[in-house]
Amino acid sequence: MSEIQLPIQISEHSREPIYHQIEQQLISFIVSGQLKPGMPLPSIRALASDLSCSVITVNRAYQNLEQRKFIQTVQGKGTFVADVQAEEKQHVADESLYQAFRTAVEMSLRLQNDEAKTRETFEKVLLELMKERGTKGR
Amino acid sequence: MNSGIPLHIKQLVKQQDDIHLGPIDLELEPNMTYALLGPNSSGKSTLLKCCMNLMKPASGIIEIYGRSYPQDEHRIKQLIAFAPDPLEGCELFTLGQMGDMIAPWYASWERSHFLRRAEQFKVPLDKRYEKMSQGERKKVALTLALSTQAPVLLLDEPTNGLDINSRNRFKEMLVEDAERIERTVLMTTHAIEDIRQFADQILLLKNGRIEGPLEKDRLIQSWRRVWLSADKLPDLSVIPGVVEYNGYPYPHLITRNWQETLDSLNANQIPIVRDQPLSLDELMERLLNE
Repeated sequence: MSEIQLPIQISEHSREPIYHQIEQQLISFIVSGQLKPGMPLPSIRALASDLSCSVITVNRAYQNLEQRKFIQTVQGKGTFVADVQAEEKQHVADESLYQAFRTAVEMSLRLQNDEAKTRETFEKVLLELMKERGTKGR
Repeated sequence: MNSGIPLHIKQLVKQQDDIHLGPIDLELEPNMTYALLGPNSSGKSTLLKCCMNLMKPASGIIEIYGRSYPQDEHRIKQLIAFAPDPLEGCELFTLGQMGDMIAPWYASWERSHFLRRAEQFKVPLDKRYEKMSQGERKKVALTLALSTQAPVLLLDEPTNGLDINSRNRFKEMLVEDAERIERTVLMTTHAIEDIRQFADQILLLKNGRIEGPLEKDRLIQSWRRVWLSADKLPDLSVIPGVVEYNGYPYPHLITRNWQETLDSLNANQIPIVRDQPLSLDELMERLLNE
């Protein structure tokens, strides 16, 4: 095992390509602040070895993350978490919220619900959660 | 330092007893680990020995970083190391003595690395090879090959006989080395776990020819077993990528091109009940028997 252990979990059963799974999980650690700017990431070979996947896959994930400025590689020193701009963090947060809603709406439609029923359910959940928060205080 | 192709085989042909190799063309990329698979007596070890000039091919060229036998043999010896299976002709020597014999051949040999590896593998420096168990002998071969720090490593069944500890140490050594030096590894294996843990690319030796390199993760993603809903199934032989189809009792197919098959199933509105990757054992068997 490498010295830097990341709680990344990949699933071969998922339809999502492995490089994409690695990318998404690293992004969520970075955006949530669990991985802070300047923290070192494992080398490509080390992470590939930990995840039992190929260096080609990890390299692809790292390259994509570097292009999106989530991480940066310093020649001869390694790969580090970049200082991610607040607006980029917001963008990622918005994107995951959008995806979560999309999944929920897809499910509703799959269950043969119409637009009104879907919206009604959404309103109900929203109201319920607002109430719960209201009583407990924010 | 070294630029170019770590190992380049061009039109190699070799006959040895019942083994017929070739013509083989192969180009390895730097920093990759290749698993060379093939049935027993398919010629995997023979191919490695040709790369070390321990056997002479009938025809063809082998280049290590652009240098070829026999004229560059001296220089090549520094660029490539081999852990044979088994390591022969060492019966009377200890690991310590073998280290001393090999050290002068390799400019990159470091005694401290050699000692550390022997210690990590818990293999004694002063025990004669003939007295060693199979696992200890394997550790000797690996300690010597790794300690050369050569940029090209040929490993013939490197984990054969290793205990769990040594196997893990071996894995760590490969990872640690990769942070310091450029290294390309070509290993033969019959162990699925080796493929899972070590390989980036797969090479198949079938009927004397090499197939690949095939990117391991891409293979795992593109082969899939797909169960379909039974109501109205059209002729599945027209679905692209399908290599096998079983209709009863749970209709399912095996595809070697998941994306194409998925697109086609979607286009034909055939519902998928479930889909999952093949196990690595099954995948490798199918690739070898294809």
